[in-house]
Parts: sequence; C-alpha cells; structure tokens
Amino acid sequence: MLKLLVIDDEEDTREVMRLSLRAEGYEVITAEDGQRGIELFKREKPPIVLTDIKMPGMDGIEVLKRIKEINPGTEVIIITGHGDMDLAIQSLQLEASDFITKPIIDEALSVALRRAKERLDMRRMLKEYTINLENKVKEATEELRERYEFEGNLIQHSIDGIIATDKQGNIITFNQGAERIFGYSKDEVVGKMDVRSLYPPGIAEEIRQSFYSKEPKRQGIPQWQETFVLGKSGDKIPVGFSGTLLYRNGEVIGSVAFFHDLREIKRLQQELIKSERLAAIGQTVAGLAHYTKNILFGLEGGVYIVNKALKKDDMRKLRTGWDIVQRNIGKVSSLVLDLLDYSKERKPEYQSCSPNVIADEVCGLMDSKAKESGIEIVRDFDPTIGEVSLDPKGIHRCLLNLVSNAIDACISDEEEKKKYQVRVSTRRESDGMVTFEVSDNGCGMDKEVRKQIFTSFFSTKGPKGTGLGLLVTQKIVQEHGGSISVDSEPGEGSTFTIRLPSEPQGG
Amino acid sequence: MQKKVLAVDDEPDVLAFYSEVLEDNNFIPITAESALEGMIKAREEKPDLIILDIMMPKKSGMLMYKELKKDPDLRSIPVIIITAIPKQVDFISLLRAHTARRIAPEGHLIKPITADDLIKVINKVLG
Repeated sequence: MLKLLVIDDEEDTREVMRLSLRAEGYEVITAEDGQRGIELFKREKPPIVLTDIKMPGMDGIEVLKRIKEINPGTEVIIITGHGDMDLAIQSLQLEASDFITKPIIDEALSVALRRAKERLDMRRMLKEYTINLENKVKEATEELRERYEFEGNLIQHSIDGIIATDKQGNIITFNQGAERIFGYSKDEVVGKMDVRSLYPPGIAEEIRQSFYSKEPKRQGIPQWQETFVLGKSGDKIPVGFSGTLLYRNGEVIGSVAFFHDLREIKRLQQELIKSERLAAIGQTVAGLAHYTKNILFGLEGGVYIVNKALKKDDMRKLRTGWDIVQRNIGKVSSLVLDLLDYSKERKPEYQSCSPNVIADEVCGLMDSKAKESGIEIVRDFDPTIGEVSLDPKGIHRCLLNLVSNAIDACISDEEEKKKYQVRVSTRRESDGMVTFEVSDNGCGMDKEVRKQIFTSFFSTKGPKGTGLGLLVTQKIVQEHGGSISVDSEPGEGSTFTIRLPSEPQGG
Repeated sequence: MQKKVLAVDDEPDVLAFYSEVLEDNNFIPITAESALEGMIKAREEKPDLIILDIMMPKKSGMLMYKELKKDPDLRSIPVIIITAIPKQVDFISLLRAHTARRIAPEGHLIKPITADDLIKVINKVLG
C-alpha cells in the first residue's frame, strides 16, 4: 500500500482527502502545517506528498523545496486555489509533479495520483535496471578476467612448449613447457629473441614452409611432425612440432607453435628395444641348442682324434685332429662374441668413409665362395655417393652377413637352370640418406619366414645357422639411427635394404 | 675280412671323427658329404653298413633313407641313422614316409655321439 502525506491547514480538506484516498487504497498520513509535514515526511518517508500551497507558517513552495532536498525522488502534488497560477508554475519549476486546483475534483486527483505513481514506477524500474546493468558489467568483467587468467594458466602450465610470435617472428609468449624443453627462461627470450634462432639450420626453413603451406590441414587440426630444435647449450632436442599462423580480419598477426618433448619417448623406445633384445637373448638357450650341439660334437670328435694321434705318435693325424679342434673352438668364440655384442649397447665409432669401398671389400671377400657355387656377385655402386659418417667395421659386418645370406639363399634354391646372381648396390637418396641394397634371385622367403627373421633367434639353415646374423645386423643399423627392411617372393629371391642417415643422429 | 662302412654327413669334422673311430675298430671307412654323393658311393661300394645323418639340408637325409630302402639292390644294407633331436619324431615321420613297408632303421643314435656308443651300436647291428 502506498503511503501518502497530505499537508493542509484546513481540517475539512484533510479529512475529505484522507477518507477518499483511503478508499482508493492509499495509506494516508496528514499534517496541518508545513513544519509538521516535514517532520512527518522525514519519519514516514512517503513516496507521494500532497500539499496545499497557501498555508500559514511554511508555505507549500517551502515545503516542496525542503522535501526535494531530502528526497528528490518524491512525487509532490501541489494543491492550489484560484489565482495561484504563478505559484503553480513556480512549483512546477521546482519539480513538483503536478498541481490540482481547489475545489478538488476526484477525477483530477485520481489522474494526478496515477501519473505520480507511474513516474514512481518508472524511476524504480530505471534504478533497478541500472543497478542490474552495473552488476552485469561487473560480472562480465570478472568472468573475462577469470577466463583470461585461466587461459593464461593453461598456456603456462601446458606440458607442451607453446611459443607465440608476432608478425616479425619476435617471441611474445614462451610458456613453462618451452622453458623446460629449450632450457631458456622466459625472460631470456620474450622480446629478445627471434624464433628462428631456436631451430637448427635448415629446419627453420622447413618449419617456415610448413606454416605457409597451402596444404589443407586436416579439419583445421595441425599435424605433428618430428624434428629437432636447438637447446640453450646448443644440443639438438627431438620434438614433435606443430604450428600455425594466427590471423585477425584476414591478416597475419603472428604465429603459434607447439612442441612435444620427444626425449622421454625416444628414451623409452630405446629401453623397449633394449629389453626386447634382452628377452630375445633369454630365449636363446633353446634356440641355440642345435647349433651348440653340433659344435660340441665337432670338438669332441677332434679331441678324440688328437688323443688317438698322441697315442700312436701320428703327426698327420694329430694335425687333422687339432685342425678340427681349432675350427670348432673358433665357432664357439664367434658365437659367444656375437651374443655379447648383441646384448651390449654400442655406440657406432663414426668415421668418414666411402660406402662403396666397404661394399667392395665385402664383395671381394665373398667372391670365391660365390664362384664355387656358380653364383655371380654384381656390383652396382653409386659414383656420386661421396663420403658418409658411419662405423666402417659395423657396416662391413652387416654387409658381410647380408651377402653371405644371399649366397646361401641361392645355394639352397633348387632350380637347375637359374643363373644365380647376388647384386650389391649403394645409393645416395634425394633426402640425403644412404642406401645399401643386397638382392638375390635365390629361394626367397614366404610371409611366415619374413615375419620372424628380425625377431629372436630364427634360422632357416638348420643346425648351421645361429639365427644371430640378421639380429646383429639389425642392431648395428639401429645404432646408426637407420632402418633395415626386406622384400621377398618365394622362388624369386629377396632384397634387403639398409637405409642410413648421412650424419650421426641424436645428441 | 674287413667290413666297409659308409658314413654320410654334411659336416666334414664329423666324418673325420667317424673315419677315425671306424679305422680304429678295423673297419674300412668310406665318407660322403652329401646325400647325392652318398647314393653314388653306396651303389659303387656296396658297403656292409651305412651311417646316415638325417639332419642334412633340404631333408636330403630322409630322402636318401627312403631311396635306400626302395632300391632292391641296396635295401638289405643295414642303416644307422643319426639324429640330433632326442625325440621319436623322426622315426614316426620316417615310418610314415614308407606307406606299405614300415621299414625302421636298424640302428639309431643321437648327437653328440661318443666313440664307444658308436662302436656299440655298429657291433650290435652287424651282429
């Protein structure tokens, strides 16, 4: 119920107003003069005041002024009499809401009150609205700030390195992940470094190209590519890299790059290879039983002959027997050394050498054995191959193994009319890698055999094979950071391909 | 009269060993390094006994055994087969290799062989 204050010096007027206004649902309080009216106003705080203009003591104008001082939002309706037009206008100028003339017509009063109420409502709504708006702005600002902090946190604490640059390539963001990977602190880098100095030569160009590449990124998700970056101490760090340009309104404003530290993964991969290798060795005992039994038999046979020879004082027999013993001891040594080699982590002893020279040596060693069995060794060396950094003894071993296998494959092939050939070739590929290929047109391998040749101690040569040859070859190739693969068709032949990087890999 | 013994094995060291043992025990050793050579020498020399390594490349040992037992001229020569796997698997596959005639080898030894074992079995087979 709205409170209404009526100030009038005439009691009748007051009574009449009180009654009729109460009937309209207002709560009416009255005062007989301005002074009392003000006091009452202060106490009751009515939103609407009806005051007579002509009163003894404080007149209506004064009341109006005072009320507006106290609460300018109060609706004050002036009651005027005849000839009070000037006063009426003055009151309006003083922000009275309305005036009604005596005698008071109900209608006029109602209208005035209604309008007053409307104004009150509007003002209230406006106030609420404004407060609301202020609150909303405050909330939005807060949320924005939280968002900003949150994303800032995200970037900072992302495990991946995140580096953002401006248009020119100056680094503007360098998160903790990047600090971890590169070894620089943010302060050393932001605003002080060009992003290009973080990449090894050659790679900076590749990366720049991948930024600008026209290739559609799959669904807008950039692809990871493996590459190297330069750490603070100049070391090469293997990372997964993905980056993109940033645009606003169609223009490039900078770039962002993400880096995955692959050192851990690479280390784990190495561990895995090592443990697989050790597991393979664990399987050795059963696998090598055949081979070792043969050697032992040979040894015992030799010893038997030596003993007989000693008893009979027969030098010739002694020599025969001793040859056998020596030969078999040699086989045992080789086997043990191979096993030891296989189980140890070896770093290749890099030297700059010519792959063609190594390949030629190997062919030379195997030429006579091949010829004995009617097999031709064909040399196909790349004259432009130049020098490569690799471990010559290791690679020699690998090639010897592959060529020897190739010759065995031809020997065990049953075709009478085939002209057997073992082809050894070297090549420098367009990506800088160096390739060795050994192919034969011998018995070939089916899928089952192919699956097993690089795993555990597998041999197709029965008691004559240790199953170690290819495993050792593979190990040497892997230690160089290279790869070995095979292609084969049963009855047609096989081709083994070794690919090596021309520079030593990894720190 | 000295008996002739043909030894067939793809390992020259093993043949040297057999030769020594056989000579020592008054036999005349004949050696062959492959099944092919073995068959030729068997037909030429008609030995009194054949020592045959079953584990030669491409199943040539088993094939030679089969041929020996099929050939009317050679069938009667006793054969001691040498295996490396201490299982009866080889016998069974051998037996299966001969459909109608279940001809088991007269003697059988497992590598590695000592001189004594060899002589014992040879004597048993030759009676």
